[in-house]
Amino acid sequence: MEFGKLKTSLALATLLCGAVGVQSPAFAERPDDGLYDLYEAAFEGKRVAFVPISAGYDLTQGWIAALERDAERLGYELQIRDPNWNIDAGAQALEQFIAEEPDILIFQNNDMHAYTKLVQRAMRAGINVIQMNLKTPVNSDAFIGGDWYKVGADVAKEGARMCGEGTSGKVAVLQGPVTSPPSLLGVAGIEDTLKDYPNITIVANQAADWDASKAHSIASTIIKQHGDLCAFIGLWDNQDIGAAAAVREAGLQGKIKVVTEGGGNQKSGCDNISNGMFASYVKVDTRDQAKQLASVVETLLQTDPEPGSAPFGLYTANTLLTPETVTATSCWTVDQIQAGN
Amino acid sequence: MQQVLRGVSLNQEQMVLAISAVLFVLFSVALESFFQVSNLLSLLQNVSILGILAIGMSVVIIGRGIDLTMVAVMVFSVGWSFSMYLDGMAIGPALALGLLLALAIGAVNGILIAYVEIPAIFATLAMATAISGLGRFALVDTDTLFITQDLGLLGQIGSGRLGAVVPMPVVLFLVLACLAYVGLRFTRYGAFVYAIGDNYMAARNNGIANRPMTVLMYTVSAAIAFAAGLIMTTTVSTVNTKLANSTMVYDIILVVVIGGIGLSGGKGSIRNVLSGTILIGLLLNGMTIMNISYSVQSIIKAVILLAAIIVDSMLNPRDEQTSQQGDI
Amino acid sequence: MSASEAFMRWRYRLIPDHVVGEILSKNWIDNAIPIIFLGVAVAIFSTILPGVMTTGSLAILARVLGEYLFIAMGMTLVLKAGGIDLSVGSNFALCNFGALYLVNALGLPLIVVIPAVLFLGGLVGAVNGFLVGYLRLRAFLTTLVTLILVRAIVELLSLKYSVAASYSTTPVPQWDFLGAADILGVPFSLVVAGVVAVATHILMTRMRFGWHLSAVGGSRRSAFNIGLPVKRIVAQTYIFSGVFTAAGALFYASRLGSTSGTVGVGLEIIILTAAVLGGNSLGGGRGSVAKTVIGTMIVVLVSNALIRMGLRTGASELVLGSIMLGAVAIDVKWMKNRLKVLNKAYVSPTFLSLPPNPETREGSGSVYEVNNKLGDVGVIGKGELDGPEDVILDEDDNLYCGSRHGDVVRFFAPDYTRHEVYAHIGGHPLGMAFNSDQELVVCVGGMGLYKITRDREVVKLSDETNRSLLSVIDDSRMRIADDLDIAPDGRIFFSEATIRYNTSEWMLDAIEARGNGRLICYDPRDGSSRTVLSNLKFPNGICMTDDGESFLFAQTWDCSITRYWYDGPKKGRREKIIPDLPGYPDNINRASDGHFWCGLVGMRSPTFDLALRMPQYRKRMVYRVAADEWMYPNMNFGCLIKFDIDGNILEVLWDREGAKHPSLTSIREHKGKLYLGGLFNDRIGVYDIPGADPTWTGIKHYWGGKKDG
Repeated sequence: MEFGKLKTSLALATLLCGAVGVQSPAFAERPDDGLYDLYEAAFEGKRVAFVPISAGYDLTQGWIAALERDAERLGYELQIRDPNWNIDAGAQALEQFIAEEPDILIFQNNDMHAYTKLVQRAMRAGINVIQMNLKTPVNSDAFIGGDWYKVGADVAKEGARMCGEGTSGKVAVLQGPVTSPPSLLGVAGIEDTLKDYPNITIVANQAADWDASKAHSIASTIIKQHGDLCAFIGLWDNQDIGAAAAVREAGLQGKIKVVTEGGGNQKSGCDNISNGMFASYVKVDTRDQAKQLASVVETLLQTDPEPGSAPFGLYTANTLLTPETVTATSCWTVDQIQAGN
Repeated sequence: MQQVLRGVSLNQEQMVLAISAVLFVLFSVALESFFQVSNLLSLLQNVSILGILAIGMSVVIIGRGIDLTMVAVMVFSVGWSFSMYLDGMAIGPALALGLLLALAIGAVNGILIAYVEIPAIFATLAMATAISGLGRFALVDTDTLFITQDLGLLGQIGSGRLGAVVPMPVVLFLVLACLAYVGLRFTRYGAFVYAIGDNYMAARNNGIANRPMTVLMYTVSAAIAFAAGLIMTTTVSTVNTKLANSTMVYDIILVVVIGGIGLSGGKGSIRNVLSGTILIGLLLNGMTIMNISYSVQSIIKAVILLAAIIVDSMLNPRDEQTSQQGDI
Repeated sequence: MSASEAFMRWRYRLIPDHVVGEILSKNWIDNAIPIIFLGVAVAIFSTILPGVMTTGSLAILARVLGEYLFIAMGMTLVLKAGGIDLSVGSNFALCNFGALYLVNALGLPLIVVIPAVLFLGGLVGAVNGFLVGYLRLRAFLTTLVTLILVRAIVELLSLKYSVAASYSTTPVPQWDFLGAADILGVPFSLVVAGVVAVATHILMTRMRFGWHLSAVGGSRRSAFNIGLPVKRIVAQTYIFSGVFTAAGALFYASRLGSTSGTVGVGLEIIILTAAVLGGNSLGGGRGSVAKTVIGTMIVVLVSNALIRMGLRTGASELVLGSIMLGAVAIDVKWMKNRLKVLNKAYVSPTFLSLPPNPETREGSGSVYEVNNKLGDVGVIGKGELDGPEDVILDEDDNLYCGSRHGDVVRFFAPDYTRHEVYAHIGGHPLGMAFNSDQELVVCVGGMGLYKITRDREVVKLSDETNRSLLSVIDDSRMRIADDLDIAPDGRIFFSEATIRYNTSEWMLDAIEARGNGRLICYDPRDGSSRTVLSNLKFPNGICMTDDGESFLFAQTWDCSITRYWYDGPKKGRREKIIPDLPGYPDNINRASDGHFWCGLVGMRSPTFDLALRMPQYRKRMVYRVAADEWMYPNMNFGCLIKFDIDGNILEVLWDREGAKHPSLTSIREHKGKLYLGGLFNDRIGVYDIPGADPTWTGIKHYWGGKKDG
């Protein structure tokens, strides 16, 4: 009965649209395979909201590119509010969205606990919540992002590999804000892993707050304090490029290795691997995440589950890139994601 | 207390140099890795960008102003240039446009201060916010620009070495310092800057075109900021726009004030900037070698700046009867 | 009258130009600009962002508003005393961190946490206060350095403790209450901020500390010189700022629980923008809680709307920076030019077309023909008087006159060489009259209507009347009460020359030539005052006629004399008995032969008569020419006229040489002699009236029957 009604109304609508010549005739004549009409209707008038940490860097630009592409393809409305690294502005943006009740709320959480209460409120308000890349302790409908403990373990292993026999074994850790999930979990991964390598000593562990210039200042200080340093172990390429620049300025490129992690953007990742700024790179592929994010949105809009009723996670697989293994397709650009590659 | 200090005040510049000398000797004796040519050169290189910015700042401060937009101008004018360059524009026109932008911002600063009569410190603070916003809104669309292409000769500005020994930033710092010294000491405009800083009304009554001169001062400091940005970018191959939100501009003031240029204007010369830069360089280098962490170094820097301001105010005390109303 | 003059007459009758200046002179005009700005912002954002004004959306704004208000109020106190506090952002971060650490890591109860955090904030404030207040450092730079210092401390602490501080395993409901609770739909933080705002308002406007703040901010040097503890007061403002910042941080910490490094970054810019946008002045002296509240509302609304609009990164900074520049630019220019603009905009000339000027030339045959009857008047008190506007004599022939110094001076009969200060009132005593009890009733310019009893006690009768409904300026207070007479039933009718100018600026009223004056009736039976007639052109010279139901009054700029019936069958009627005097009439008094004397304080001139018909010309003059060069009516040379109740001119007395008494404002006939006063004179003139009744006195003539001894 319901179907019949829907179908007639759809048919009527397409007929009208066709009459005024707005829609393509292919749409009007399309046969239904039993799901397609439902599928199509599931996105109509739906709103998806996204609050990144900042829309100004490669990861978020990659995700946004994929979402924008799907929004146009499927016909849902995508709203992005950019707090530009400001937690308070981010909280305001989230609260606003909760009041406006979009169908799906996606957010990225720079501080482990800051948005915890807001996530719960959003779900109580009936909004499906996706946590992107950085997770709060509260589970929502979906989490898509890096397995930060394993990322920490992988970069630590790479650091240990580079600083084996014949080196000082001294490494310095550069983390982001200490309460940020990658730092909190990643540093734990690094420390736990390095316990297995007794020859490695962590001579410094400092917070560069995801800021390249701060990383640069910290790194040049550490380089002077430890002239025989073997490697910097960092947790984000955008930040660690500052450390790599400090190494190069000191004329120690090749002697002090920079091991880092990143989303695999061409400019900040592969280019810097190729030119030797980064000695080893754990890729948590943003391209994959972007596709997964778009798919999860596509799924949730159709299934519309009770918020938080069936939480699931999509932890990104880590890939190792070194100057030897990097190829032309190892990395991505925003334009490629936009184009669907 | 004040009498004692005033007795010394005649030689504040020498005082700074003397402290530097003492520190130099102390570090050389106490810290084994200090007295090496490579360390001393890197000491200079590390503070050369700061020193260049301090030259621009000192011109403005001598003219009784202050320019808090310098870092924002530096980041976004150069950032814009390289952003256009990365998008395919030739490097020459891109840099020319960036320089024009810097000059325009400097002129706007000057106009706001000289013609609209907004206090310098406030006008430039608000301008710094607006420039950072404009930069991220319209000029540079990522937080960090990576310059992976080879810049050729231009790259030598930042990473080259004169005679394969002295880093180019140090050379350029000294060259700019000489230019500024000559400009302030031997040209009419330099004399005007001192006159305006010393007594604004008297300068005006003497027929100096105070307002255009003020605009000129801020334009010069913006141009110097552009130069510093260019050198910095070619050194590290990245433009980090988040630098505009950092406290770097206060480090510049630290160098100027510690060198002995009074914030009330009309006093000091480029020599003070040199001594201030060297002292700060020594301190940073020494603290680093002594294994003091980055955060503690910031605290120590802030305390030193505070001490410098206190000493400055004791040497040039403000009197209840003569201080200007509304002078914050 | 030509068509253009008719047009001009209607244009100036219909369009109230003077209201602009009156609005500009209001104190609340400072707040009007930000309020308009707020209105515009609300209008714009609710149009382009539907849903901004819904309750859900407003609740979000209100929560942020509450937190910001605390900090902004602290900033207001600092700004008011002429300082600035840039360290609020870092201090906010420190207090936020401290609160979270105490609650989450140490698990302390709120009763300990709240005072501890407020103390922490106060401590940072105290450091600022010591440095800026006691060591006299520059506020801007010093707080800039404490900003860096405190920020570095926060970074150091958060590296070590922020993991512990960021999360508590055992939830603390009271703690969550601070940031999340609503009271009647209003966030708890805003409620507390509202209470504190009222308290701060009282502190700033009603208490000694607030007045001291204004004094220090308004003129630090003067405050120092009158012995205020300037250093301590300045230091205290920073402590206030620190404690208020801590209060804001407490709510913020409870709401978000974030120990991120970005907390409080750039907050000082937002708060400063809020304070300055509301109209608080940088550099001190001008500021109030109301301004701060308005400014904070604008900033919260704008920054929230910018987030909602989902603009590109940087847009909000760009807008915020530009708004701040605009606000400060307006502030600077407004402070600099406010008085200048006000002075020019306030004087608002209007159209006045006087009837043809009667001939006064000697030999012209006119009734006003110049003579020299006043050429040899006698002189009383020469060089000892200053501005005897009116003179009066009592039954014992003693002479009373006012002076510019606020005294009523008595000269003793019979030779008037000795004199004493009869009573000191203040203001400038102008018109005088005796009531039935022989008490001297005086109109005092700048004060109102006063009475001097026979025991020389000064009693205020009236200094305010009913406020008219549509007047922008407060017209209930009296500015220039200038002449009076007393009706037989004891009611006092007196004139107020203008409601727009104070005594010292009365000549500006001549440039306007608008009906700014009024007649007021004071009723001694119930002590009430009410306006009888308004919109008169500098009314003056009240004088009762003998019929007990009407009086005469002059309108100086209108060059006319009018009869007004205040009682009897013709009550309320007005009749202009002389419409075209050759000069500007002042006081009118009775003559022994039943007619009236009137002094003309100055003579009309064709140029000024022409200027009166050209209001735009006078407006341009006010705008472009220095005040000293403005064209005023002639006030140097006048004459004395005698007229009857029908307006016929009976006699004119001139001082042709101008040596003895060229300008006069009042005359009093007493026992065959005429006593002459003048506003700018240093003497009183005495003139023997040929053929006058040598026993007639005004007081006996008027009160004769009722006098009881």
